[in-house]
Amino acid sequence: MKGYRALTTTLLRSLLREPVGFFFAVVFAPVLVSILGLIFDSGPDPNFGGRSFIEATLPAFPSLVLAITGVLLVPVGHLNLRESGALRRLRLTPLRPATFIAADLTVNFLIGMSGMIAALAVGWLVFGVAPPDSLASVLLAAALGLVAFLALGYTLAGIYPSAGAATGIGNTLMLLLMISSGAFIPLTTMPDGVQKVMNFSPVRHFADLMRGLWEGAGWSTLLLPVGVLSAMIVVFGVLATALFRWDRS
Amino acid sequence: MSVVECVEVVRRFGDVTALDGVSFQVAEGEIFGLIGPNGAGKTTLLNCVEGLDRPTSGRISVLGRHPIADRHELTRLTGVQLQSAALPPRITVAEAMRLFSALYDDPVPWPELLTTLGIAGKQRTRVERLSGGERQRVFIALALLHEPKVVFLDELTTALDPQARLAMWEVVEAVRGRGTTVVLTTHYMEEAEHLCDRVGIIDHGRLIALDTVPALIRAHAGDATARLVLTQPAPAELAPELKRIDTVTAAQPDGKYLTVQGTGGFLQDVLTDLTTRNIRIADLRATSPGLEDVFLNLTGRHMRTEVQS
Repeated sequence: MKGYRALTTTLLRSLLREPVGFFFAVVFAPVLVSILGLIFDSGPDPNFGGRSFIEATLPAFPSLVLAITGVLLVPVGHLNLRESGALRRLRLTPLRPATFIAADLTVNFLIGMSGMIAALAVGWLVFGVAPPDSLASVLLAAALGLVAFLALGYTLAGIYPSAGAATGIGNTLMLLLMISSGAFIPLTTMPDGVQKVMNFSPVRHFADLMRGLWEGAGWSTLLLPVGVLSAMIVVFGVLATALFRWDRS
Repeated sequence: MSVVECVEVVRRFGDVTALDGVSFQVAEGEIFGLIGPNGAGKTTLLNCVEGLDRPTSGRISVLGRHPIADRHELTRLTGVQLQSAALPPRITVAEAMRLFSALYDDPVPWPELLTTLGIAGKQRTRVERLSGGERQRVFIALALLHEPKVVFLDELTTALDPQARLAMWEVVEAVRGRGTTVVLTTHYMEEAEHLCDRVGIIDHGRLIALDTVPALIRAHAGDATARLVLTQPAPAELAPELKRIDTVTAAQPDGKYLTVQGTGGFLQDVLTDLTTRNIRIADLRATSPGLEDVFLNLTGRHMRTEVQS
């Protein structure tokens, strides 16, 4: 427990002192809400079913955080620790592997949740989007999605050949996921064919879940997205465990 | 009981044999050095001893335990300084010390350790902003936090300037003074001569000699050595001709460099011979034999240290 606390504190400091990663994990989503809100938010719009731009898209913004964290920040951070030899050094101490993973997950979970909450808070406090009936449900869904994408991130860390490759591939994947989130462009405004392809994006399902809960739907009506995210946790959790490596080779 | 015991350790990477039947024992309280050129297999051997790598065949025991099967137990008993070590980025020296202290049950007070190592003033500095020597000392401090029975130091002084190297030697001697067994690798012969009670010489994955430094020199380099720099490369027939001189025991040309070993007045004989051949000398140094000569005699090659002694 002493080791878990110390490692969590250290990893948190290490990450928060890296301005680019911190920006993308915590600041990017709320800033984007503000910018897009200032540009496009011009009151009720028939394109969005009579809602304003921000009202229609806000629940999807946390998915940006998921995409960035899962395919980019978690694998790149982990690969950096592995390639630098920091993991190898830690392995030569009595630290248990499970303790390391628990601490690393805690840190990324805390940072990811901060980013998502900040994005929602900006929409709510600055642009006056009505808060959901059940804030707890929305936060629980955010946590569910985040855990699913952390598992994905750990799996990718086992697959990406190097931190450099992770940055390149991760950026591309991240953009695809972001577009499919419906945050920039509401999905309903896209052509049918594109919408069909988007059905395969896990981010899209997360956005559906958030939007549904935000608008007051019950969990029982959202079984598809809940199922997709739960399946991600199981599948990527198993894969990540199997692929986990302390060392380069 | 030996602190470290290796029996016929072999490590192959595909077709490459990195370690080829290495056997040795390290006794409690000694400073044991593994020397050899870069790529000789020193780090591979240490990795196997530390449990980071598994030998293809052979047996290793550390404090009577298996490096991999008993890894967790050994992490409390051994201290390791890796050749390429790292920490989570952007943390300070104090944060690193606090983190590693939390991983052990009964660590020594780390501020005192930093004072002993001469980096007490660097607590608030980020580890990556330290100089090479300071960073090396942080990793030594991390290896000593739990008062291990044996420490493994891999290429301890490679990145250091000569002054920092001397300071590091004092640190190693102080560590041994506290009763800790030290196993180190180096490719600096002076370092091994100065520090090590016993030295194992590794070349191409084989342990080709193992003894105290004076015994190695007596057995493999009893003669004095003269290192000459000629004004032009030595002609091919020079070495065989020089060896015909009674007092000369070895002659090894290497371009413009010529290393000659012998007894008695061999140097005068060699100089006379070179004069009659009209070969001119740009520089000459005569030395009593050292580990460098042991290596030369055993392998026919120079160690190629980056720093000339």
